[in-house]
Amino acid sequence: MAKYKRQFFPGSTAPAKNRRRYLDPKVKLKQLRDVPMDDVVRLMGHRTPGSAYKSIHPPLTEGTEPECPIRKLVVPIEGAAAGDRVRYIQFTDSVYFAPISPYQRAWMYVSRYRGIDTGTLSGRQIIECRERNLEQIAKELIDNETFDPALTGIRGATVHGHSCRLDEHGLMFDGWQRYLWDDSKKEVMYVKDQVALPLDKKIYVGKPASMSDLKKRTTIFRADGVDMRDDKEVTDFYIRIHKLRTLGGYRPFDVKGE
Amino acid sequence: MPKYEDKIDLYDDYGKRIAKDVPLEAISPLRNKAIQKIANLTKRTIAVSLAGIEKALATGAIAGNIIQGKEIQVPLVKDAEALAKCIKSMVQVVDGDETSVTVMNGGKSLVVIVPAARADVGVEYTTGFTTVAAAVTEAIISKYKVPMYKANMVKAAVWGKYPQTINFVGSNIKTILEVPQMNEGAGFALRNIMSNHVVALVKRNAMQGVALSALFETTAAYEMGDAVGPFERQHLLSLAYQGLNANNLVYSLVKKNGKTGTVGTVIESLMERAIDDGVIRVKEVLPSGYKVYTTDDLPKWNAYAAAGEVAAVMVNVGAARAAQGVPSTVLYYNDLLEHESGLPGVDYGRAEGVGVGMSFFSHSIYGGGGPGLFHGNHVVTRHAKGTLIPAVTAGNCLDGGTQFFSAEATSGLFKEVFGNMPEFNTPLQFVGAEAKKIKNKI
Amino acid sequence: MSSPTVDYANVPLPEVRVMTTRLLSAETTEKVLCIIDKIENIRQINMCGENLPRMINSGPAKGNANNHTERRVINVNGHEVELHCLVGSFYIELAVDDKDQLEATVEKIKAAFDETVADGYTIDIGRYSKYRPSLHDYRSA
Repeated sequence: MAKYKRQFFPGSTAPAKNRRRYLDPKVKLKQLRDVPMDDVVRLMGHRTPGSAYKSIHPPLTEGTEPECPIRKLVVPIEGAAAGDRVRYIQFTDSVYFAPISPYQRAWMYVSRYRGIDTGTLSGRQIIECRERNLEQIAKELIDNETFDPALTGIRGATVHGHSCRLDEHGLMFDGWQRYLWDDSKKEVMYVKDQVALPLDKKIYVGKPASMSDLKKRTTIFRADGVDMRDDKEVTDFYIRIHKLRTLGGYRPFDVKGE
Repeated sequence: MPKYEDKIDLYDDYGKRIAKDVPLEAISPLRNKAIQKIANLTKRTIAVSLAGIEKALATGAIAGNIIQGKEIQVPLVKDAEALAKCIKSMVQVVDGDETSVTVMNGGKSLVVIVPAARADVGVEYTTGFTTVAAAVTEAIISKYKVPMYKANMVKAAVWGKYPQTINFVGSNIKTILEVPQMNEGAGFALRNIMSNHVVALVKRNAMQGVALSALFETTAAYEMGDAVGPFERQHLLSLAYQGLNANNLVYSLVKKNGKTGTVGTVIESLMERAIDDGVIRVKEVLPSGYKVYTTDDLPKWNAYAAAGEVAAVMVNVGAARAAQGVPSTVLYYNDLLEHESGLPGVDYGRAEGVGVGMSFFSHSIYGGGGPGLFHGNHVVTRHAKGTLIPAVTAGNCLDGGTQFFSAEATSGLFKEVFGNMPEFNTPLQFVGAEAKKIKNKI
Repeated sequence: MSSPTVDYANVPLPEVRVMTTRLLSAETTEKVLCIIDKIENIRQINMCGENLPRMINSGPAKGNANNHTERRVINVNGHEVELHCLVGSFYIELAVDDKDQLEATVEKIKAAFDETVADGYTIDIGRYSKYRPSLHDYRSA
């Protein structure tokens, strides 16, 4: 059997290439900051750092699970084996050239992580997972290049802001002001957790990237950046899928070599 | 002569071969007697909760109302054997016609299988319910000599609020089928079976759950008029590859990706297999190096994609042991597959579309519910016919106890009722054996 | 000077719309208002922007004070103005008699924004807000 190599996404423009990079689990994404794990836990607000994980069902052990061949083949993630609760982290991504947009987050999540549930909503992307695995994922996502302190928000509720103009410091609007600009350190600091409960300490998430840098890193096609229509492969691809879905929905047996 | 050239090998839930070189039609509900028996028993098997009726009569709490002063104290559970005998005598047509009334749980419930003659004589599938409901009502009234002015209580305790309502609200008699009036469209009866019911029927065996859901959905496709003429082959192919583990596709995909895989790696394995099996081929290579794939057999690609969909759910949801990820897995699996191949996803985009709506309706943002409550008759899931619900069932089977609406909570009764029926517990083996038997007679 | 001005009962009612490229902080809003407040021939100034709630209005923190740094009282030439949004647009209605007066006033407004708003803005002249009753206002509940 010939080994198949995934190709992820068509196109030769920067957003298309970036999409491929984020999607490819073999690419190790750049770590731009190191927010301590306890702070990640605080930002999510599901448990106090250091406290035990609460469980929703007894641990899964050999013999207690129903007889099912698939359960034998599919190894549960650590949190599932321990019976952890399912918890979430949600990111809002600004339309102003955030490193990644919600929909590509979904692709990236299901491509890179297992045992997750994710959903795209307007301007935000939620990822739900067993708690201890979620914490690992959340730390990766806050630390790596898909997160920009100014243009990515950690917001569990009232996420409004992704399509608003930025403020004078270049931060994405947040009516609940979970994060502030620290002018002395030139960094963004969180003062509230993702649902706007006040944090007992300020959590710094680093310096925002420059707009010119972000335009190179983003996955977003924009008329004032790279227009999707300028990438013929990408537009042709969507036209092709639209056409094949239509033909398939009509008389699939007539579609040959299209 | 078989109508279609396709030959498949059928494998069971452990990846062991059941039958080799089976013509596709051997798994057609029109030809395979095992499938016919499953459909047949689905409408003939009825559960009666004697404990429920006894309590309703004793308290006057019937069909959502409490009527005081008309309580009836009758020891139905204690008298279960006698009632069963009485009911059987009313339901049975002739001796040896497979009528059976089984007492379960020390008399708390009865399982009645009405004879095929009753189910076949009419034109509607509610006969099983109506026959048993009427027999139970009459058995109670005559055994306990319930006076005329209290007899209506017995009727309401057994039948529920019907006919004030269109279905049997508050009834103590349960079937896995809903009344026809609750169906979204013509031929939807077998699609109107909650995924949790299937989970209970197969005792949480994911492969068997997929098979049973696929059998129900495909049989419904014939009833809906979806599997007629040139459209038939597509439904049989997806039943084979997605539902019945044809060529061990689903099992081997899960085996390969079970330990460390993601939805993405399942797609990788599926592409590899589809290319190797000659289902798809490269049409052109674009300047960026992106290969556009094409196929000469779109229905077969659809079946492969559907098998991959189930495998992706088994890997991702299975790893989480949390059913809530089913809709998102279906959605993004299909989307990634389209981007990977340049070919349409399962049911030509419909499964992906359904994934979007189902994500919303199965999470608390909408106000409750869970993937277990879904069936092919649901307003957001009915569009992807045949190929979606098996994936939903796979996910629900693999839940480790995170769901509020678990199969044990919503469908525990059916686990007892169908607990020892191989038709429902091990449909892969049951249907596979019949396919093996008839493969040379097609 | 793009669109023609409108009038109501023979009173001309031109309006200047300024959209800032960035949402303005309370401090910048105060600065710009202090200047345009002194410009002559302005009938009224309305501002719009993104709402800043006083309290957290949903989720587990519901009921907590929001404590948004930009939701505060600013001082415009001695007048206290309570800001409850992050301002992003200004609708300035002019009381001008002729084209020359209009152009002179607009120039002053532009100068005010050039001086205070670092990230740029767009300016249009026309009529953007409602100035007379319409059918909607007579609609019964």
